Amino acid sequence: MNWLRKDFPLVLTFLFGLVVMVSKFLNLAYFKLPDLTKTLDKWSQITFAFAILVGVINLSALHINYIRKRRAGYWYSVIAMATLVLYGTLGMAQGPKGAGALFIYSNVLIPIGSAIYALLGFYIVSAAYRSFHLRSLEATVLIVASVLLMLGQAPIGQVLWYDFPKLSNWIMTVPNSAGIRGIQLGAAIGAFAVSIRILLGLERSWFGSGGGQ
Amino acid sequence: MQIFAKGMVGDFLWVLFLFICVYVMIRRAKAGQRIPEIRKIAGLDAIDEAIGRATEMGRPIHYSPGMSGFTGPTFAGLGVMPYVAKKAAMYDTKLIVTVRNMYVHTVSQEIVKQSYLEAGRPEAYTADDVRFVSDWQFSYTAAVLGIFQREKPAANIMIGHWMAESLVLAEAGAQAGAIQVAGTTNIFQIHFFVVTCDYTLIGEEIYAASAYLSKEPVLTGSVVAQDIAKIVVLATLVIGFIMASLGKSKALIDLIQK
Repeated sequence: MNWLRKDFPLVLTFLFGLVVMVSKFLNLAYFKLPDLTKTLDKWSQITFAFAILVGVINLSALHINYIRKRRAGYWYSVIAMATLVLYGTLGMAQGPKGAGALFIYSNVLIPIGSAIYALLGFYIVSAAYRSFHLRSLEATVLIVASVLLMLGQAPIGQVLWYDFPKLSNWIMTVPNSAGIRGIQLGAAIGAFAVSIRILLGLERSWFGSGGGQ
Repeated sequence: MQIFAKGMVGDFLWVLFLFICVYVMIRRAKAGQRIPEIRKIAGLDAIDEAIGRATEMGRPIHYSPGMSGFTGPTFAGLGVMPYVAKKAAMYDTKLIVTVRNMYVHTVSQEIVKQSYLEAGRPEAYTADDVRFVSDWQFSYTAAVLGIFQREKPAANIMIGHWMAESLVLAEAGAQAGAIQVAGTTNIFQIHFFVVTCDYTLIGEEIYAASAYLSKEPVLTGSVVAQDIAKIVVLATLVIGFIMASLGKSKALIDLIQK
């Protein structure tokens, strides 16, 4: 059983990784090999559908437990479960684009999502208030760059000095782009190295092993 | 008819080179030969501090492996998870893991369960603490905001792929008084973490995390290989810059695009 839990996933990972790599690199027509990536994509979608079920079971178990124990704020769990049942039933009865499911989607889900997203504006202000203190060289650079960028974007900047937009544009296209590309380069190579570690079964922490002491 | 797919010869050579680098460094590590050490990464050292603080305050730790499915950053986040889970189990500190993706949720449950087992405290594992919250980005965000408000975690660790919700979550964590360690490769979110979190893992640092924390020579060897690859890329950039300045970059571009 230990083999099934520990080694079998590694073998599967290696095999499927190899199939995808071979499909990408080699001219499959030359070797008269079928392109298995589309089949694997279909398998992935099927397993994802089953994973949704696992997610719904976990979510339901959690909230039912809260309701049963009458935990503080359990009413939110009641609402969550009622919504899950209602939306699920409507979706299955009328289809995902049926009138009932669409009504909840457009009038509940979308406005709430937008409201949460709108919080970003307030949080930017509070984060900026806490961060923009001249307490270190890095913070100073951050503030100076931010002020210059704002002056470059706002009409008042152009009134103060005609070339503020040019300066702002230079900050964005030269030092900012250089930094971004450096980070992207490192991240891309890092992602690649992680992929190789996973393919070769060296990185095992993702199924619970390792992590040090 | 050619053996390689169109435009993939350069990519294949590059992959082959990386494989060789990783193989050589792992052989060296296994043979006990000297390999360079990973530099100090403050954000990863701070994880112990964050767990310690949560333990002292008797408040939970919140951990999230990010918003995406199984991508590189998610694997990086899942790589740190066993370390945090083991420490949480050892110190008897509650660990709340919130997940957006169903696949990742199943794997996260296994990781935490196994980590509690390896820490010798399987009875402390509670399945309800590894929570699939929602597949929707802002539903997930709203739910985690609620967790921050209700359960007041003393430590918030977020390593993975983050999008527009990064600032909302990190700022809410800061307002809840949590010590925060966050990491992502998404360049549009890193600055949000820099201004709101106590420690930020920038870009590739998240990929070195599991090797850094586990201190396994084999994993460290692969991180060294990654750095060698980076040096080669930088050298190629410099050569390309010189050749382009001389108007003779076509050969290099052809080789890369072949």
